Amino acid sequence: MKVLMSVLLLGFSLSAAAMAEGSLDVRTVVQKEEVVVDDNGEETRRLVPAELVVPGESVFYTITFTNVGEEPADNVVITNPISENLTYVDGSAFGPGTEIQFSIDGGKTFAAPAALTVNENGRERRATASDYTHVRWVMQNNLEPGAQGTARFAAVLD
Amino acid sequence: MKLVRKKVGNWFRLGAMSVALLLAQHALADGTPAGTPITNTASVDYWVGGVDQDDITSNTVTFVVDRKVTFTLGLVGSALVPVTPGGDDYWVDFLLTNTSNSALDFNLGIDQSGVTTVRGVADTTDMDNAEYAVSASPVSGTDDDPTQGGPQYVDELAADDAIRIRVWGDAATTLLNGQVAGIRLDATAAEPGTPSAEGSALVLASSDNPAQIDNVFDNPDVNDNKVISETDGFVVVTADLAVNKSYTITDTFGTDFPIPGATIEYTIEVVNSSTVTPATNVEITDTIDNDLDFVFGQYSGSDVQIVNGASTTQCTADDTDTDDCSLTGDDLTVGNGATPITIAPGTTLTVTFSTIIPDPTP
Repeated sequence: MKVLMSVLLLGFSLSAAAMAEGSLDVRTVVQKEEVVVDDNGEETRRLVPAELVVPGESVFYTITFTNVGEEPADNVVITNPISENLTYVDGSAFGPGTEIQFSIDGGKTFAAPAALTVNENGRERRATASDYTHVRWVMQNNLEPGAQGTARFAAVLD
Repeated sequence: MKLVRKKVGNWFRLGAMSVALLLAQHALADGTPAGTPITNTASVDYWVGGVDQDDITSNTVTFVVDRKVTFTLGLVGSALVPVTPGGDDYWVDFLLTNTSNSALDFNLGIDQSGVTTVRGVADTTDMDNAEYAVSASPVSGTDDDPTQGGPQYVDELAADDAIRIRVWGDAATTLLNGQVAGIRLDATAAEPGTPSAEGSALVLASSDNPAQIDNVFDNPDVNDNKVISETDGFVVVTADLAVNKSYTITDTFGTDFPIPGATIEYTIEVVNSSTVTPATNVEITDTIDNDLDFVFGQYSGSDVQIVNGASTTQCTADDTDTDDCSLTGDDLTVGNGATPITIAPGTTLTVTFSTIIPDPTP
């Protein structure tokens, strides 16, 4: 068993090294929510790989970033586009120690939701979740060597 | 054993609903088409030691949109279709709408024996020679009326499109007023992709197969197929006739005493109270009292006046011609001529003829 674990760990390390192009290693997974009902009728929710996905369902993107270098990383900004067929779920973005911003212009500019407006038929209105094209997490502190951060958001498949 | 089902949390439902209502810049009416790959890659910008580093991109995650099989089957009419015993080719239309994110074929079938109620009414009989056919063109096209002998399955119905399916039946002569015949149409979602060929029924995916588009739907039947059924039907409505006879006496003094020389004009009214079914081949026979004499030529030179709805005609009591009246002995018959009499629904046939009380034989 130990041998097997070692091989697995080695494989993971090699894979991680291959992914890292600098001091940070970044990984994304996409999942969907599944509700398990036990024999007592109680529901338990869990995230499972997004395999069977049909319109109307939500998917969850989780970005994990790790400082694999030897120096702190600062000004860390994680940017994730929202795919064409997805609509951001309002209020779903999450990232400890980050300020979350959005773009409504294809990632050219970012701002907090309250500062985003859309000109529609000559009238300014506040941008809504369906206007967002990108989501961004701006870390408020340095990412120390070996430290790991997480960012997540949900979107509905149109 | 645990029951596993997939569900979107309520707050996500609300989010999805609100965004869909506000602005669907990405949205398609029928949802993202099945087979569409959805990819995502995150990027990270960062600095180390005061130096901006090259951006890093994550791995790219991809999932392929599967087929959400949803469709509706609705009734086109608003009520049971009235039928007359002996009538053929009565029909009802169904509307099949594909609300999936994929074109679909549909297998079809009809059944009468398993129907117990239709439109809230108990099913009490069956139609003869029940058959169905699909329109040659969906609603988005020319929406042609289905024709008997037409397509027996729905072929490549595009997402968000609808098509009519017609079911016909004949009414046996033995049917009784008020009997109800329901016919159930079963539509089963089937594999699309080959035009002009009926696909096999779609089977619910038990797990994801990344190499293909999987089928996702709720309420599968025992075969893990997606079937929706709808029932419409027919009600037997026969003519509802009532007959009333009255008379008017006019004596030779201008009063109404039944004295010798007085004329007695009889009026026979036949009312068809049915709202839908005409009464056909109506024949009326009246035996004139032996003590009265029939008066000829009383109505524009003819002997009997017939008012049928808005039409007024006269006929002669001569029983050698082919008009609608004949007098044989004391029996006056109306409606036995070459042109049968039909009383339309909600109308009245009125027959009027005159007699006279003869003077006593000197």
